Amino acid sequence: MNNLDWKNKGTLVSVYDKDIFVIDKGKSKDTLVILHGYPTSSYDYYKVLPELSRHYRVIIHDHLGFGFSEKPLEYSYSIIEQADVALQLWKQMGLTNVTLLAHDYGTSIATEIIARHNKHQINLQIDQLILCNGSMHIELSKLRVIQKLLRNKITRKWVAKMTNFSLYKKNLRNIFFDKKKISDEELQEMWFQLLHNRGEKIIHTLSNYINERYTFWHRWIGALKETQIPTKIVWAKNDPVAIDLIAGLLAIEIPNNKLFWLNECGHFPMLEKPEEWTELILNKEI
Amino acid sequence: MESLIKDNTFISSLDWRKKGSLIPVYNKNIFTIDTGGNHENCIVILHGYLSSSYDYYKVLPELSKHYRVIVQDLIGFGFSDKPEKKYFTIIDQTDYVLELWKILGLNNVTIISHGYGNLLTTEILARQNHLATNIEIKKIFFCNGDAPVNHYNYLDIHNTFKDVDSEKMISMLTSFGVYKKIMKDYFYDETKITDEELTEMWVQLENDNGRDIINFIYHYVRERKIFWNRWTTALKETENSIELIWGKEDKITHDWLESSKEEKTTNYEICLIEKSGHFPMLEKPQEWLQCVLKK
Repeated sequence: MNNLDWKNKGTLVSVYDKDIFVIDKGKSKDTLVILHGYPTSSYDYYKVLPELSRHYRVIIHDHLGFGFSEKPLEYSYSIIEQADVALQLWKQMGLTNVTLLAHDYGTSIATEIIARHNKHQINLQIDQLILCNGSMHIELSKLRVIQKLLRNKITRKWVAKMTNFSLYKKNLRNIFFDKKKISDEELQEMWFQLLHNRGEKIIHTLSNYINERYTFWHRWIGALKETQIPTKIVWAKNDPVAIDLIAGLLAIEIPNNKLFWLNECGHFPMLEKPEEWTELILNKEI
Repeated sequence: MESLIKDNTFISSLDWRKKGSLIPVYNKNIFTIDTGGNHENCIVILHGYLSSSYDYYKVLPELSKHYRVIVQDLIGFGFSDKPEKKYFTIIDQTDYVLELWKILGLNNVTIISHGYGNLLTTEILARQNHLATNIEIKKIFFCNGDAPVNHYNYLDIHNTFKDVDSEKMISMLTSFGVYKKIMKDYFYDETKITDEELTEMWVQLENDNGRDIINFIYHYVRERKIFWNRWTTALKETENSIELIWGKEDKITHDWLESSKEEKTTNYEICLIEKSGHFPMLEKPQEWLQCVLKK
């Protein structure tokens, strides 16, 4: 699917005076809200949306600074702020009960939301939490060279300036288990969305979240350890970044959880093994 | 003007402790003094880093003649519980502050904050702007403290951040001697803080192995960098009335005054206190009270 078709599927919704791109599909009374990863967008879900939306009303938004959402230059792209935006968007849409699914960067936003949920700061009822590959245990994560460079305050700007399509393509493809499962065309569409709204100007500030995962480690991992929300962990086993050890540890820490593995699959299971992944997501076992 | 402060106001930590109570908030006990309950208007006070509610012992009697006053020890300080982990973020600290106020049934408050406490106030403003809290604020008084740094790319200016001051603060925790010396240095007139008072403050820092747990200043400096835009935006967009109460001769923090002029953040009123260092409520309590109480 090209990115224009994707764009036509959604609308821009104003949240705190910023435009947020939102896909809202499906007529079920059960709502599934999705928090996508870095540095991609809601587009990661283009293969699975048709099937998911047969079972759920599915709402995916591009985080501020990503995809077709606004990319303000002067902004602290913090996970705390992204959680504010997501919660406010859902409030504006009148959601009261949701299943919350998160992947990669989105898992950190999810843990912040769970922290607030535990403290009864939000009125949203979360019926189920679904965590996909994400380096919540940042200390176990195998950061790619590019992530390390983006984390470093000296090299990050330089890297951001040097980033081009071929580097992007190489980095993204490398975290697939089967490199053939992502086409040049798809990567081109993803790259286009990164550049949309002059995203290349802010890409290095988006990567602050890696530092935040250290700063808020106790808050976020603590929130997972405390939560009573039924949690499904769906993990692609061959993710070179968010390694399987993270899923194993989460399965020990989260009180009410069930872990499902996806074999021979890399960091983007919804793109690499869409059918198997969707089946696990829709599985009502937990 | 007649003196608002009695000459002999000194109070020991132990007696201070008796003025308040421990209120359970989430999984922690927060030491809280709630006085002047007959007044409808309420002032809440957020103290600074390495301090406690005790900073306000001189001004509390007079203040509580005009307001219901709530002074609390922040998590990790004074008689409140300590965090189990060293990383206790401003976001977490703010959660506890707001929850305590909710438990006390406060919904319309005047906030007075100082130093580190100013960051909590600013985070509360950010939540107000994002409709994430119901608290209503009548007025805010910021006392001496650093302004949130307004810089697009905060990581580029990490060197200009006052790491020296952070190190100085950490070194205060090494021994009473060092603590005393640096604290005196924060005053314009060092005779305005007695050894007796400093001993009481030190006792509170020591309480419950506090020294081991509260050296999280680097962490909060980092948070200031993470949230630079969240907080400067909160200050810009807030419709609350803000006033600065400032000891003019503060050796560690001064940039708020300058940046508030530069940025024209809002039309802050400024109540400047001459011949006072970083702790105007202790060094010039009378003048500090006049700033708060003037109508």
